[in-house]
Amino acid sequence: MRASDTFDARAPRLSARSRSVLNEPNLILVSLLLAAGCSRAPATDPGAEYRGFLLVDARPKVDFVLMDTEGQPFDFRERTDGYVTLVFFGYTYCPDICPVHMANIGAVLKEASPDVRGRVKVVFVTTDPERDTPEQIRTWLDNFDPSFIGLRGDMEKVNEIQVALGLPPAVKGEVEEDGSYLVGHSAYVLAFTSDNLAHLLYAFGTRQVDWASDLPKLVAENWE
Amino acid sequence: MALLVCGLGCSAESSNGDAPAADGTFSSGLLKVSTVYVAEPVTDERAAMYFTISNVGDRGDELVAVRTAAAGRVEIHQNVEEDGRMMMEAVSGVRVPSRWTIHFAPGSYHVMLLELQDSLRTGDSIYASLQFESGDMVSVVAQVRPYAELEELLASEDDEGDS
Repeated sequence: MRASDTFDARAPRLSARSRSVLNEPNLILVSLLLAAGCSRAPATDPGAEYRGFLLVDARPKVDFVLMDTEGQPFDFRERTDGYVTLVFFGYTYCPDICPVHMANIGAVLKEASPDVRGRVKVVFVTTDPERDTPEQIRTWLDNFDPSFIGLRGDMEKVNEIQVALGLPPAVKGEVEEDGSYLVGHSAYVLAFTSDNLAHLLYAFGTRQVDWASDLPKLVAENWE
Repeated sequence: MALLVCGLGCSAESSNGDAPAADGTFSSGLLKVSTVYVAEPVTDERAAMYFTISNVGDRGDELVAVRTAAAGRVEIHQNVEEDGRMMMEAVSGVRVPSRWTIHFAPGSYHVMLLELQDSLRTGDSIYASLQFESGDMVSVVAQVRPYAELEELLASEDDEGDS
Protein backbone atom coordinates (compact mmCIF):
# COMPACT_ATOMS: atom_id res chain seq x y z
CA MET A 1 0.00 0.00 0.00
CA ARG A 2 1.22 3.43 -0.83
CA ALA A 3 1.82 5.86 1.96
CA SER A 4 -0.66 8.26 0.43
CA ASP A 5 -3.42 5.72 0.93
CA THR A 6 -3.40 6.53 4.58
CA PHE A 7 -3.82 10.24 4.30
CA ASP A 8 -6.85 11.67 5.96
CA ALA A 9 -8.82 14.88 5.99
CA ARG A 10 -6.00 16.64 7.78
CA ALA A 11 -3.35 16.23 5.16
CA PRO A 12 -4.58 18.74 2.59
CA ARG A 13 -5.54 21.17 5.28
CA LEU A 14 -2.07 21.49 6.65
CA SER A 15 -0.77 22.59 3.33
CA ALA A 16 -3.71 24.77 2.45
CA ARG A 17 -3.06 26.66 5.64
CA SER A 18 0.36 27.91 4.85
CA ARG A 19 1.15 30.47 2.30
CA SER A 20 2.70 28.96 -0.75
CA VAL A 21 4.09 30.89 -3.60
CA LEU A 22 3.63 29.23 -6.92
CA ASN A 23 4.71 30.17 -10.34
CA GLU A 24 2.38 29.86 -13.28
CA PRO A 25 -0.23 27.13 -13.27
CA ASN A 26 1.84 24.34 -12.06
CA LEU A 27 -0.85 22.05 -10.80
CA ILE A 28 1.46 19.09 -10.65
CA LEU A 29 3.61 21.02 -8.25
CA VAL A 30 0.55 21.88 -6.21
CA SER A 31 -0.38 18.25 -5.98
CA LEU A 32 3.14 17.30 -5.01
CA LEU A 33 3.02 19.86 -2.27
CA LEU A 34 -0.30 18.49 -1.14
CA ALA A 35 0.94 14.94 -1.21
CA ALA A 36 3.98 15.85 0.76
CA GLY A 37 1.90 17.90 3.18
CA CYS A 38 4.46 20.64 3.02
CA SER A 39 4.95 23.95 1.39
CA ARG A 40 7.89 26.07 0.43
CA ALA A 41 6.43 29.02 2.21
CA PRO A 42 8.59 32.03 2.72
CA ALA A 43 7.60 33.95 5.81
CA THR A 44 5.91 37.15 4.80
CA ASP A 45 3.96 39.83 6.57
CA PRO A 46 1.80 37.74 8.89
CA GLY A 47 -1.00 40.28 8.67
CA ALA A 48 -1.26 39.66 4.95
CA GLU A 49 -0.94 35.93 5.18
CA TYR A 50 -3.34 33.99 3.07
CA ARG A 51 -4.26 30.39 3.53
CA GLY A 52 -4.79 29.80 -0.15
CA PHE A 53 -1.96 29.37 -2.63
CA LEU A 54 -0.67 32.72 -3.78
CA LEU A 55 -0.07 32.86 -7.52
CA VAL A 56 3.05 34.82 -8.36
CA ASP A 57 1.64 35.54 -11.78
CA ALA A 58 -1.92 36.60 -11.18
CA ARG A 59 -4.35 35.23 -13.75
CA PRO A 60 -6.55 37.63 -15.67
CA LYS A 61 -10.26 37.10 -16.12
CA VAL A 62 -11.43 35.41 -19.26
CA ASP A 63 -14.23 36.78 -21.42
CA PHE A 64 -17.08 34.36 -21.61
CA VAL A 65 -20.84 34.25 -21.63
CA LEU A 66 -22.66 31.18 -20.31
CA MET A 67 -26.30 30.60 -19.39
CA ASP A 68 -27.32 31.11 -15.79
CA THR A 69 -29.91 29.01 -13.98
CA GLU A 70 -32.69 31.34 -15.17
CA GLY A 71 -31.68 30.60 -18.73
CA GLN A 72 -30.29 34.12 -19.17
CA PRO A 73 -26.86 34.90 -20.62
CA PHE A 74 -24.31 35.73 -17.95
CA ASP A 75 -21.36 37.87 -19.03
CA PHE A 76 -18.68 36.80 -16.60
CA ARG A 77 -16.41 39.83 -16.84
CA GLU A 78 -19.21 42.36 -16.73
CA ARG A 79 -21.24 40.75 -13.95
CA THR A 80 -18.34 40.04 -11.63
CA ASP A 81 -16.44 43.27 -12.26
CA GLY A 82 -14.81 44.51 -9.07
CA TYR A 83 -16.12 41.69 -6.89
CA VAL A 84 -14.18 39.06 -5.07
CA THR A 85 -15.23 36.19 -7.30
CA LEU A 86 -14.74 32.57 -6.34
CA VAL A 87 -14.93 30.34 -9.41
CA PHE A 88 -15.34 26.59 -9.19
CA PHE A 89 -15.88 24.01 -11.91
CA GLY A 90 -17.73 20.85 -10.84
CA TYR A 91 -20.95 18.91 -11.21
CA THR A 92 -23.99 18.25 -9.07
CA TYR A 93 -23.72 14.45 -9.21
CA CYS A 94 -20.35 14.82 -7.49
CA PRO A 95 -20.95 13.62 -3.92
CA ASP A 96 -17.61 14.34 -2.31
CA ILE A 97 -15.43 17.23 -3.46
CA CYS A 98 -17.95 19.66 -4.94
CA PRO A 99 -20.56 19.80 -2.17
CA VAL A 100 -17.87 20.08 0.50
CA HIS A 101 -16.26 23.10 -1.20
CA MET A 102 -19.64 24.75 -1.78
CA ALA A 103 -20.95 23.95 1.70
CA ASN A 104 -17.82 25.30 3.39
CA ILE A 105 -17.91 28.57 1.43
CA GLY A 106 -21.67 28.86 2.01
CA ALA A 107 -21.32 28.30 5.75
CA VAL A 108 -18.61 30.94 6.06
CA LEU A 109 -20.48 33.54 3.99
CA LYS A 110 -23.54 33.00 6.17
CA GLU A 111 -21.53 34.11 9.19
CA ALA A 112 -19.59 36.84 7.38
CA SER A 113 -20.26 40.53 7.92
CA PRO A 114 -22.51 42.21 5.33
CA ASP A 115 -19.46 44.17 4.14
CA VAL A 116 -17.71 40.98 3.19
CA ARG A 117 -20.75 39.09 2.00
CA GLY A 118 -21.85 41.90 -0.28
CA ARG A 119 -18.47 41.96 -2.01
CA VAL A 120 -18.19 38.24 -2.74
CA LYS A 121 -19.72 36.36 -5.67
CA VAL A 122 -19.51 32.61 -6.01
CA VAL A 123 -19.69 31.22 -9.54
CA PHE A 124 -20.19 27.50 -10.10
CA VAL A 125 -19.74 26.25 -13.66
CA THR A 126 -20.95 22.75 -14.44
CA THR A 127 -18.56 20.30 -16.05
CA ASP A 128 -21.50 17.98 -16.74
CA PRO A 129 -23.94 19.97 -18.90
CA GLU A 130 -25.46 16.70 -20.13
CA ARG A 131 -27.06 15.91 -16.78
CA ASP A 132 -26.91 19.24 -14.97
CA THR A 133 -30.05 21.04 -16.06
CA PRO A 134 -30.48 24.67 -14.97
CA GLU A 135 -33.11 23.48 -12.46
CA GLN A 136 -30.81 20.81 -11.08
CA ILE A 137 -27.98 23.31 -10.65
CA ARG A 138 -30.30 25.81 -8.95
CA THR A 139 -31.69 23.25 -6.50
CA TRP A 140 -28.19 22.03 -5.71
CA LEU A 141 -26.73 25.51 -5.16
CA ASP A 142 -29.71 26.63 -3.08
CA ASN A 143 -28.70 24.04 -0.52
CA PHE A 144 -25.51 25.95 0.10
CA ASP A 145 -26.45 29.55 -0.64
CA PRO A 146 -29.22 30.83 -2.91
CA SER A 147 -26.97 33.68 -4.03
CA PHE A 148 -24.47 31.31 -5.65
CA ILE A 149 -24.42 31.74 -9.42
CA GLY A 150 -24.74 28.58 -11.53
CA LEU A 151 -23.56 28.57 -15.13
CA ARG A 152 -23.92 26.09 -17.92
CA GLY A 153 -22.61 25.82 -21.45
CA ASP A 154 -21.42 23.13 -23.78
CA MET A 155 -18.56 21.03 -22.55
CA GLU A 156 -16.12 22.19 -25.19
CA LYS A 157 -16.65 25.82 -24.33
CA VAL A 158 -16.44 25.19 -20.58
CA ASN A 159 -13.18 23.32 -21.08
CA GLU A 160 -11.76 26.16 -23.15
CA ILE A 161 -12.60 28.51 -20.29
CA GLN A 162 -10.89 26.26 -17.77
CA VAL A 163 -7.75 26.02 -19.85
CA ALA A 164 -7.71 29.79 -20.34
CA LEU A 165 -7.92 30.15 -16.56
CA GLY A 166 -4.99 27.80 -16.07
CA LEU A 167 -7.09 24.87 -14.89
CA PRO A 168 -7.12 21.42 -16.46
CA PRO A 169 -10.10 20.62 -18.69
CA ALA A 170 -12.73 18.27 -17.25
CA VAL A 171 -12.82 14.68 -18.45
CA LYS A 172 -15.91 12.52 -18.64
CA GLY A 173 -15.35 9.05 -17.21
CA GLU A 174 -16.45 5.74 -18.59
CA VAL A 175 -20.21 5.32 -18.90
CA GLU A 176 -21.49 2.46 -16.73
CA GLU A 177 -24.13 -0.05 -17.75
CA ASP A 178 -26.81 2.00 -16.02
CA GLY A 179 -25.76 5.10 -17.95
CA SER A 180 -24.07 6.76 -14.99
CA TYR A 181 -20.61 8.24 -15.21
CA LEU A 182 -18.20 10.34 -13.23
CA VAL A 183 -16.43 13.50 -14.30
CA GLY A 184 -12.83 14.27 -13.44
CA HIS A 185 -12.30 17.95 -12.81
CA SER A 186 -10.08 20.42 -11.03
CA ALA A 187 -10.62 20.57 -7.30
CA TYR A 188 -9.35 24.15 -7.04
CA VAL A 189 -11.36 27.27 -6.38
CA LEU A 190 -9.91 30.26 -8.20
CA ALA A 191 -10.26 33.57 -6.36
CA PHE A 192 -10.45 36.84 -8.29
CA THR A 193 -10.23 40.09 -6.38
CA SER A 194 -11.42 43.65 -7.00
CA ASP A 195 -8.61 44.20 -9.51
CA ASN A 196 -10.23 41.45 -11.64
CA LEU A 197 -7.18 39.24 -11.31
CA ALA A 198 -6.96 35.85 -9.62
CA HIS A 199 -4.15 35.98 -7.10
CA LEU A 200 -5.11 32.91 -5.12
CA LEU A 201 -5.99 29.29 -5.63
CA TYR A 202 -7.77 27.22 -2.98
CA ALA A 203 -7.14 23.51 -2.93
CA PHE A 204 -9.57 20.90 -1.78
CA GLY A 205 -9.13 20.63 1.96
CA THR A 206 -9.53 24.37 2.51
CA ARG A 207 -11.42 24.52 5.77
CA GLN A 208 -14.09 26.92 6.94
CA VAL A 209 -11.56 28.60 9.25
CA ASP A 210 -9.36 29.18 6.21
CA TRP A 211 -12.16 30.81 4.22
CA ALA A 212 -13.19 32.83 7.27
CA SER A 213 -9.63 34.07 7.56
CA ASP A 214 -9.09 34.80 3.87
CA LEU A 215 -12.39 36.22 2.60
CA PRO A 216 -12.19 39.52 4.55
CA LYS A 217 -8.56 39.89 3.42
CA LEU A 218 -9.53 39.25 -0.19
CA VAL A 219 -12.25 41.90 0.07
CA ALA A 220 -9.88 44.45 1.66
CA GLU A 221 -6.86 43.72 -0.53
CA ASN A 222 -5.97 46.12 -3.33
CA TRP A 223 -2.75 44.37 -4.44
CA GLU A 224 -0.80 47.55 -4.72
CA MET B 1 -25.69 -14.97 4.56
CA ALA B 2 -28.45 -13.28 6.46
CA LEU B 3 -25.93 -11.66 8.72
CA LEU B 4 -24.42 -9.79 5.84
CA VAL B 5 -27.56 -7.90 5.07
CA CYS B 6 -28.10 -5.54 7.92
CA GLY B 7 -30.86 -3.27 6.83
CA LEU B 8 -33.08 -0.62 8.30
CA GLY B 9 -34.92 -3.11 10.39
CA CYS B 10 -31.94 -4.64 12.07
CA SER B 11 -30.50 -3.54 15.31
CA ALA B 12 -26.91 -2.37 15.30
CA GLU B 13 -25.85 -4.75 18.02
CA SER B 14 -27.73 -7.81 16.92
CA SER B 15 -25.30 -9.18 14.39
CA ASN B 16 -22.30 -9.67 16.55
CA GLY B 17 -21.40 -9.81 20.19
CA ASP B 18 -20.10 -6.30 20.55
CA ALA B 19 -22.62 -3.62 21.35
CA PRO B 20 -21.79 -0.10 20.16
CA ALA B 21 -19.98 1.88 22.80
CA ALA B 22 -21.62 4.98 24.15
CA ASP B 23 -19.08 7.14 22.33
CA GLY B 24 -20.27 6.02 18.90
CA THR B 25 -17.57 3.43 18.34
CA PHE B 26 -18.66 0.15 16.82
CA SER B 27 -16.48 -2.89 16.93
CA SER B 28 -16.07 -6.51 16.15
CA GLY B 29 -13.09 -8.20 17.65
CA LEU B 30 -10.03 -6.11 16.92
CA LEU B 31 -11.67 -3.83 14.36
CA LYS B 32 -13.13 -0.58 15.60
CA VAL B 33 -15.20 1.81 13.52
CA SER B 34 -15.93 5.34 14.70
CA THR B 35 -17.13 8.74 13.47
CA VAL B 36 -19.66 7.20 11.11
CA TYR B 37 -21.54 9.82 9.12
CA VAL B 38 -23.53 10.16 5.94
CA ALA B 39 -23.49 13.57 4.29
CA GLU B 40 -27.05 14.77 3.83
CA PRO B 41 -27.47 14.35 0.08
CA VAL B 42 -28.11 17.49 -1.87
CA THR B 43 -30.00 15.52 -4.47
CA ASP B 44 -31.85 12.39 -3.44
CA GLU B 45 -29.94 10.10 -5.75
CA ARG B 46 -26.72 9.33 -3.98
CA ALA B 47 -24.94 10.00 -0.74
CA ALA B 48 -21.44 9.67 0.65
CA MET B 49 -20.59 7.87 3.89
CA TYR B 50 -17.46 8.40 5.96
CA PHE B 51 -15.94 6.66 8.97
CA THR B 52 -12.67 5.80 10.65
CA ILE B 53 -11.48 2.19 10.91
CA SER B 54 -8.89 1.18 13.47
CA ASN B 55 -7.31 -2.23 13.41
CA VAL B 56 -5.91 -2.83 16.89
CA GLY B 57 -4.94 -6.41 16.11
CA ASP B 58 -1.71 -7.97 14.93
CA ARG B 59 -3.05 -9.05 11.56
CA GLY B 60 -3.89 -6.81 8.66
CA ASP B 61 -7.39 -6.94 7.22
CA GLU B 62 -9.27 -5.41 4.33
CA LEU B 63 -12.64 -3.73 4.09
CA VAL B 64 -14.23 -5.47 1.13
CA ALA B 65 -17.86 -4.37 1.20
CA VAL B 66 -20.34 -2.09 2.89
CA ARG B 67 -23.97 -3.10 2.98
CA THR B 68 -27.04 -1.10 3.84
CA ALA B 69 -30.71 -1.39 3.06
CA ALA B 70 -30.74 2.39 2.58
CA ALA B 71 -29.13 2.06 -0.84
CA GLY B 72 -29.76 -0.14 -3.84
CA ARG B 73 -26.04 -0.24 -4.56
CA VAL B 74 -22.97 0.54 -2.51
CA GLU B 75 -19.43 1.18 -3.75
CA ILE B 76 -16.19 2.05 -2.04
CA HIS B 77 -14.49 4.95 -3.80
CA GLN B 78 -11.27 6.79 -3.61
CA ASN B 79 -10.31 10.10 -5.15
CA VAL B 80 -7.28 10.06 -7.32
CA GLU B 81 -5.57 13.11 -8.70
CA GLU B 82 -4.36 12.99 -12.25
CA ASP B 83 -3.02 15.92 -14.23
CA GLY B 84 -4.50 18.31 -11.71
CA ARG B 85 -7.93 16.69 -11.92
CA MET B 86 -9.69 14.84 -9.15
CA MET B 87 -11.48 11.72 -10.23
CA MET B 88 -13.38 9.21 -8.16
CA GLU B 89 -12.82 5.56 -8.81
CA ALA B 90 -14.34 2.44 -7.33
CA VAL B 91 -11.95 0.17 -5.43
CA SER B 92 -12.43 -3.48 -4.57
CA GLY B 93 -11.29 -2.98 -1.01
CA VAL B 94 -9.32 -0.90 1.41
CA ARG B 95 -6.43 -2.45 3.36
CA VAL B 96 -6.33 -1.79 7.06
CA PRO B 97 -2.88 -2.92 8.21
CA SER B 98 -2.41 -4.11 11.76
CA ARG B 99 -2.28 -1.35 14.36
CA TRP B 100 -3.33 1.16 11.74
CA THR B 101 -6.12 3.64 11.36
CA ILE B 102 -7.73 4.59 8.07
CA HIS B 103 -9.76 7.77 7.85
CA PHE B 104 -12.47 7.94 5.21
CA ALA B 105 -12.91 11.62 4.43
CA PRO B 106 -13.90 13.97 1.60
CA GLY B 107 -11.17 14.00 -1.02
CA SER B 108 -10.01 10.55 0.06
CA TYR B 109 -11.83 7.27 0.58
CA HIS B 110 -15.60 7.36 0.86
CA VAL B 111 -18.49 4.95 0.56
CA MET B 112 -20.96 5.81 -2.17
CA LEU B 113 -24.56 4.98 -1.45
CA LEU B 114 -26.27 4.76 -4.82
CA GLU B 115 -29.95 4.31 -5.66
CA LEU B 116 -31.07 5.69 -2.31
CA GLN B 117 -34.25 4.00 -1.17
CA ASP B 118 -35.52 7.00 0.79
CA SER B 119 -34.57 10.62 1.13
CA LEU B 120 -32.04 11.10 3.91
CA ARG B 121 -32.22 14.19 6.06
CA THR B 122 -30.11 15.57 8.86
CA GLY B 123 -31.18 13.84 12.05
CA ASP B 124 -31.89 10.53 10.32
CA SER B 125 -29.65 7.57 10.86
CA ILE B 126 -29.12 4.43 8.86
CA TYR B 127 -27.77 1.01 9.64
CA ALA B 128 -24.89 -0.41 7.69
CA SER B 129 -22.43 -3.23 8.00
CA LEU B 130 -18.77 -3.24 7.09
CA GLN B 131 -17.60 -6.57 5.78
CA PHE B 132 -13.94 -7.49 6.13
CA GLU B 133 -11.83 -10.02 4.27
CA SER B 134 -11.21 -11.96 7.50
CA GLY B 135 -14.94 -12.59 7.79
CA ASP B 136 -15.34 -10.03 10.54
CA MET B 137 -18.27 -7.73 10.22
CA VAL B 138 -18.87 -4.46 12.03
CA SER B 139 -22.42 -3.18 12.25
CA VAL B 140 -22.67 0.57 12.51
CA VAL B 141 -25.23 3.32 12.80
CA ALA B 142 -24.46 6.29 10.58
CA GLN B 143 -25.91 9.68 11.40
CA VAL B 144 -26.95 11.94 8.57
CA ARG B 145 -25.39 15.39 8.90
CA PRO B 146 -25.00 18.40 6.55
CA TYR B 147 -21.90 18.74 4.39
CA ALA B 148 -20.94 21.95 6.18
CA GLU B 149 -20.51 20.02 9.46
CA LEU B 150 -18.35 17.25 8.02
CA GLU B 151 -14.96 18.84 8.49
CA GLU B 152 -15.60 19.28 12.19
CA LEU B 153 -17.25 15.89 12.67
CA LEU B 154 -14.51 14.02 10.85
CA ALA B 155 -11.59 15.83 12.48
CA SER B 156 -9.40 13.28 14.17
CA GLU B 157 -8.99 13.39 17.88
CA ASP B 158 -5.37 14.39 17.49
CA ASP B 159 -6.58 17.47 15.67
CA GLU B 160 -8.02 18.86 18.87
CA GLY B 161 -6.53 22.15 19.83
CA ASP B 162 -5.12 22.53 16.37
CA SER B 163 -6.66 25.56 14.81
